[in-house]
Order: sequence, then structure tokens, then C-alpha cells
Amino acid sequence: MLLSDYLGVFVLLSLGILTGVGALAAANIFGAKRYQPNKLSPYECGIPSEGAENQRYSIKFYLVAVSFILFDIEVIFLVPWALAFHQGLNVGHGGFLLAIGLVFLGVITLGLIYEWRRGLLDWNN
Amino acid sequence: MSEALIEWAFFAGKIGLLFGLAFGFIAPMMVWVERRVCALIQDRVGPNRVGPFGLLQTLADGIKLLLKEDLRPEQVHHKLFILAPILSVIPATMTFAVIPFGPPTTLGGLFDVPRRLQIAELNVGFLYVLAISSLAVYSIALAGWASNNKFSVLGALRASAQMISYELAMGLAVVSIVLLSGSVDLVKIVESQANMWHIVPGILAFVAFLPAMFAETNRTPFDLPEAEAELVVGFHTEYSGMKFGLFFLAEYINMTTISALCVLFFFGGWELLPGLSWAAIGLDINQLWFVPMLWFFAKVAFFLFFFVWVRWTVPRFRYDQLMSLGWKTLVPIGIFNIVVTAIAMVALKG
Repeated sequence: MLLSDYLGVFVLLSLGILTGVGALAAANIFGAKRYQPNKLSPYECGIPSEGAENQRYSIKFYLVAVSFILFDIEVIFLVPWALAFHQGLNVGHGGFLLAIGLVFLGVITLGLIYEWRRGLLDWNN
Repeated sequence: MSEALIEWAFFAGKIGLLFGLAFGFIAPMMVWVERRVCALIQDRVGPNRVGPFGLLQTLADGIKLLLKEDLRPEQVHHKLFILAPILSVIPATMTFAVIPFGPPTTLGGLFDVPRRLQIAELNVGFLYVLAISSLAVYSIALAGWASNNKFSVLGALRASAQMISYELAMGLAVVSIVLLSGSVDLVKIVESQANMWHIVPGILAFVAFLPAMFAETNRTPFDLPEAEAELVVGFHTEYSGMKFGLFFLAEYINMTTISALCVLFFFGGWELLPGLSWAAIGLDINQLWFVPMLWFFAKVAFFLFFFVWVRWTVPRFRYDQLMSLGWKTLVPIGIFNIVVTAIAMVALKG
């Protein structure tokens, strides 16, 4: 890895920051300024907001996040395997690499089946 | 011109072309296309007053957004509230660094060896796009949380859960593309499709990839985060003026990037047709390098149109349907597809 390879990435990063900050700054400068207290009230369909500011939410979202982390890491591990498989195929190691990949995919599938059977994927209960 | 000057002009030209095209042309045009196609499908006329066919409507809208008051409702966390729209534009801008938009070319003899039309030649290839586009979740989660409004928080939670769930389907679909082409480099992926586009052997991967495209960009039929009937507009309920405009801009840029990825993965990028190369019809890539480039942009434009077409014809999913489609259908399809592809490759080889 050369730092110069990433030069384009850094240029785009700074262009992105410039676009975001620039647009908001321009809107702040050119935008209308007519103060009116009701404008600053939260959007609640005309009814005052009730309850805690950031209320508790369903545990389901947390479970989705946890299983995402597990599965996404496993998917990323599959990429180097796929690269090795393609190379190994040309020199006759295809069957062996396929078997390794199937074991790994089998473990992922077992995890998915376990989650499914435990009902973590059912959103409604 | 000296050698170094040409290098820098080439580098600046690539960035200028893609950045200018995305922000100056595609995003404004897409807003116009969206409204006109919507009108066409709903048997209306659509915006046709500002400029020919209403083409300058987006410009007028942009000026209006600029002149809107910079409102910050009193209950919000001010710093994070402003940070969120900026954070949504940054990953959108960064993702197209590795998107190649044409075949390697000498630009009509300007260079001795063919050069890639790609802003950054990273060895991690498209994994960079997956990594950076995941960062978009932060801006949405932050926007909802900083707004301190129940609609926003719910919209942001839904959007985050949906985006991370469909990232799995997308990742699994992409693994089979790596199997088929043997590289994570997007230029090599396109070159491996010279004889056969990956859509044919990778049809199952495409079946998983296509819904993931829509879900990742929060577009209908998966626009649950902003389900108007339930959540007003979800995570950007409290946003108005230019801050809202930035979220909107980022959405169109993300659509463009993901359409480009889809074309590069499944539809041969800038290759003419399966089995028919540009050289076969007598086109010299080094001289007429912009013809394959325009062909690539035409394919991307089709998918952008497809996004709009689907938005105005397909109804929205229910949230539990969305999650079970992702986890119970697309993830198993993705795993099954990798197994089938690998077995078929071994069988065909031996």
C-alpha cells in the first residue's frame, strides 16, 4: 500500500467536507432570518410532545445489530477464500478449497438456522 | 507540457469529471427525472415551467433551499444536528474513488502505457466501497438521535437496522462475483466479463443484489425509514432548508454509485455486448476512449431510471416483511448461490 494511492481518496474526502460545510454555511449566510418562537417547536402534528425525550425502543434492533456484526465478519472472511479458490482452481486444488469453503459456509448456515429456530428473525413476537 | 504536469492534469481531470458529473449533472437531473417520470406514471404533466421541459426546475429548487431560514428546533442537540447532514455527504462523495468509468486507455497517445480511468487505484478494490458506504449509517442514526423527536428516532432505528441487514445480502452476492472473476479489483472484474457478463452465471447473486440496492439507498419499496403515513418522513423530520437538501443530495449520489457498482459487477461495465468487444467492431479504445465511457454511463443511467420507475409503481413493504425478506430469503439465497457457483466451477474445470 502506497500513501500516494490514497491521494484521490483524501482529495474526495476534503471535497466532501467542503461541499457539506460550504452548503450549510452558504444557507446560513443567504438564508432568511425572521425570528418567530413557534418555528422552533418540535414537529409533533400540533400536539405537545409527551414522555421521555429519547424513549426506550424495541430490543429487536439490538439483536439485529449483534447478528449483523457476526454475519458480516463471516462474509468478509469469505472474500479471501473466494480469491484463493479462483487461484487454486487453475492449479488443480479446486476440490480441496471447495471442501474448506463448504465447512465454513456450513458453520454460517448452522448459525443462521439456530437464530431462525430461536425466533430472533421473527419481527412480530 | 512536462510529464508531471500531464500527470496532475490527468488526476485533477478524473476527479473533476466524476465530482462535477455527480453533483452538477446527475443529482439535479435525477430530481427532474424523478418528478417527470412520477408525473408520467400518474398521468400528470409534472414540472414544465422553468426552462425547456422544466429542466431548470432543480436549479430553482436549489436557490430556494439556499434562501430558506436555517432553522434549528430548540429540543435538538445543536452540534450533532448540524454534523449529521455533513456526515451523509462525505461517504457519498468518497465512495466513487474506486469506480472505474472507462477502459484503461492512453488517451489518444498522451501516455505511453494505458492508464486507468479511476480516481484511486486501491488494492482493496470494491471492499473500499462497501466499507465507506457503511459509514452512511452513522449520519442517519445521528440525525435521528440528535433531532430528539420520536418520529426521527424511530425512522433512524429502522433505517439503521434495514441498512445493516441488507448489507449482508449484498456482501454474499458480491462474494460470488469474486469467485467468478478472481479479483476484488473492479477493472479486472469488468475484464473478466469480456466473453460472458456475470449476470448469466450470477443470476442468483443478482436476485439478492437487486433488492439490497434499493434497501441500502432507502428507496421504495424499502423506504420504511421515511414511511410518510407512519413516521412523517423519518430521520429527517426536523430537517429543513439546506440541511434537508444535503440528505437528498447524498441519496441521489448513493443511488448513482450503487447503480455503477451493479453495472460493473453484473453487466460488463463498459464492455459492448457479451462476446463482442470494442476492438471487434473496429473501435480503437486508445483514440475513441470516450465511447466505452459513454456506454458505461448509459448503462448506469438505465439503472437510475429503474430506481425511479420502481419507486412509482411498487408499493412499500411492511417492516416485518422487510426484515424477513432480508434475513430469511436473501441471506439463504446468497449462501446457496456461493455453494452452487463454487461446485459448478469445480465440476466444469475437472
